[in-house]
Amino acid sequence: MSKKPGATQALHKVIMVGSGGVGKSALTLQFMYDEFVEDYEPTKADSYRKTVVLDAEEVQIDILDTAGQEDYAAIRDNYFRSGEGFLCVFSITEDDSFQATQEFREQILRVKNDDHIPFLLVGNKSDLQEKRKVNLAEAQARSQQWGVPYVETSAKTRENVDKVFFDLMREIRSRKIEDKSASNGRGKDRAKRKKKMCIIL
Amino acid sequence: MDFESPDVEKDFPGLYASESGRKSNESDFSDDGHDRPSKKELLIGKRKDKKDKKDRGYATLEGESSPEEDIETKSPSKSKKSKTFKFPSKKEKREKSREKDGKEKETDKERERKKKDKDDKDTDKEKRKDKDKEKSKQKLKDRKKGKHWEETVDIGEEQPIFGVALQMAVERGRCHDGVELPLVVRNCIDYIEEYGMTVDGLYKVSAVKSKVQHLRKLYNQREVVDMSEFDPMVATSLLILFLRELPEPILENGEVVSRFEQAASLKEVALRETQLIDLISQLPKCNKTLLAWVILHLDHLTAHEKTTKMNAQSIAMTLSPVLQMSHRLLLALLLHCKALFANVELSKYIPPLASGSPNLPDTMDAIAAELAKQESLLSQIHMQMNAGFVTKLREEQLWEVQRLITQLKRKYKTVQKLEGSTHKSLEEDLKLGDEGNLDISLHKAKIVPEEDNSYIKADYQPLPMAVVAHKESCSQSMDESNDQCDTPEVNEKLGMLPASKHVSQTKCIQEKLDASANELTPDEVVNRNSGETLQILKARQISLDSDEELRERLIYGELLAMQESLGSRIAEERGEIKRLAELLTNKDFERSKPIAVPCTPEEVDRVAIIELVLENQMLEKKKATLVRTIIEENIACVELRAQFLIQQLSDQDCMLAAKKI
Repeated sequence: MSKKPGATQALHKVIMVGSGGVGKSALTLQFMYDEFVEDYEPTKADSYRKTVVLDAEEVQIDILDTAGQEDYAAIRDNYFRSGEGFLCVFSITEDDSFQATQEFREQILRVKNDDHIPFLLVGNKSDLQEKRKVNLAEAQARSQQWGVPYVETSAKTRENVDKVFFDLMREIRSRKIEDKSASNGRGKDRAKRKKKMCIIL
Repeated sequence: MDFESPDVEKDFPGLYASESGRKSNESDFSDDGHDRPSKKELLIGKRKDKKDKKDRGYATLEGESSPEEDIETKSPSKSKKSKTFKFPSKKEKREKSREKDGKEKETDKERERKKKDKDDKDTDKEKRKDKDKEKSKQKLKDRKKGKHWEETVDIGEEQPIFGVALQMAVERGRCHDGVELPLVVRNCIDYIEEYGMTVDGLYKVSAVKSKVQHLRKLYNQREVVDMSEFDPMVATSLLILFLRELPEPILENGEVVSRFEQAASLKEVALRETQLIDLISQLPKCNKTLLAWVILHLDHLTAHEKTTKMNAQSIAMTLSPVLQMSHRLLLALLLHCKALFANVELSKYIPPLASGSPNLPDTMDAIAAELAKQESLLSQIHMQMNAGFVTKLREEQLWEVQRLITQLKRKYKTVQKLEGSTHKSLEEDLKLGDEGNLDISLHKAKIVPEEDNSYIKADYQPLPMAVVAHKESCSQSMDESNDQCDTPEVNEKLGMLPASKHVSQTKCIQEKLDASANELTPDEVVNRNSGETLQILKARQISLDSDEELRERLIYGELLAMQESLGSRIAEERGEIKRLAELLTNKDFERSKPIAVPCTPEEVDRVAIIELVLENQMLEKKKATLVRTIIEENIACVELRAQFLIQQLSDQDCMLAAKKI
């Protein structure tokens, strides 16, 4: 709290979710430090902050890398609640992880109570095409059903790593602007609602 | 807790006739911390009853400033007290089971609450309707409502630290360094130890009530408290207030207190001590810790008798009622405190680092300690959030603490790696000795000649700079003429030095490479070795029973070959080194004159040397790791070769068999 970002600098809170071993930490570390960690070490929870330039504007991104394992589900809600955008990651080489995204999505929607929360479906390990188990069409179908973008990444080759984070930040940003204008123009909002009611009547 | 009332009513039907309605009502909010003590009192017999009366005396004093608290904690006990003495026989049996039960209930309730919290989010409106319907659950609902409008909820009122069971106070207001004391107690003791020892009548003089109450509120609300703006009397009064508000005596309960009293009344000192030690060891952990800290702290007070005007007697007079023990018992505890709490030492509490603090610890131990504190803090935040106290501030804190933990973990890993590698290389140096070192440098020269070249370059880079600096200083301090005749010399020296060395080094590298090429063409080695071993194997093939033995033999043969080649290389390199050393001494001899002539400023030299040394250290480390990998690779090669040979052998056998057929 002592080191709050400048009032002008926006802060976007991103949360990584997905099953264990799909590469949430790998994506995060690649984005944060340009490093690829080969050996797997289950995460409990980790948080990072980075200043980035998003469309010529300096912003801060807070990334919370959560545990994929169910063991830590108890503390997950506390994090989900404070997230502003979610990267829901699965591994294209593991169908189970893809199936699990459904549950993560539901959990997030339940905690956030918001169907339009900034959200990206991310298929990681795109460098392992020969081991692919989840085909593109399948993943795209799900993302369309949810109304969210689908991106395939490789934490190893850094393919689309920046893209997913920046795309999500853009969504969060536009969402915030929306919310602001909604709360500022409450009068208008009410007028609209009243109109609607009239129509119903 | 609920199980008691039916039980009791069975034995004494109608006893609670007037009460039972109220009781069931009460159970609705029995998870409230205040409620437990009253029930406890219910079970503790006459003796406790007396104590409570004493207690209430203080409590009513308290009441002036906190009437609410008084009603909440004390009034239920008042109403039940009249009945408690009727079944003293049951108290002992129940006490323990009830305690366990209480704990279980606590966690159950936590879970329940969490669940409800979730539900709450989904069906907020319905719940509110429910609330109107079920007025009996009013209190529970109120809390939930509070949970929902996060910003207005007051953790200080819902989950206070003052006036709850000690264990709970410890959990809620934790010290994050592993000492199981409520933070408020720790802070008070720290503060008094630091600033109170010169105050006349410490603990006797009480502070302004409003200040103490203010601090009490801050602690209840988990605010960061800065005591430095208050005088030590506020700290003593706050500590006394905390102890007094504990629903149970610091010595667990009346029963245990009486055992302590008996022990303290023993005439024989040694026996008294052992008995007290024994009794203390039976206390719950948090009670033990609190007792130890308070008694040791009070003992420190007696050491400052001159300034505080408080000796053991006056301390006992002042504080025995607060600690719910007799004058004599407190004196005995003070007298024996060194033996009783031999393994406890008061230490000043250093809270977890605030986030954004630039100075993370550097050593592995310090990082690990800080990490433990932060983890403890994090789990406490989670606990508070899970209990429904979700505020923007707390959420932010959660992320920040998490971030700090991540930073610490990363730092820990890097430090570990660094220390690990230096440690390993040290070990290796020790193990291999001089020969090994030679070996290592050889390996490196062969495998990474490029690196070696860069090593040479890096080695000499700082030198020209130093010379430039040198020249400047020369020009400042010397005449122009002097300067002119000086620089060529220096330049000459410079030019000569790297050039000659470079040439000789690269030459030697080339030589080494040639040598290794001659020796180490892998195919050749394999062929040669396989030729030999095949012969051996053929000769002994019949006698070899197991594949395993065969493999071992092959590996042994490979290793012997490796040893041989390495030995020859070492010898070669030694010759080379000797040659180079001779070359160097010659050069040194030539150089010794020009070096002596110019007035080399020592500082410049020193800087250059330091840089070189640092550079060298870095390179040594790199070298060591490379050597390790080479050794590992070599071993792997040996294994593979052995496998290869076995394969070959079996193939041959097959061929032979096929031919025969």
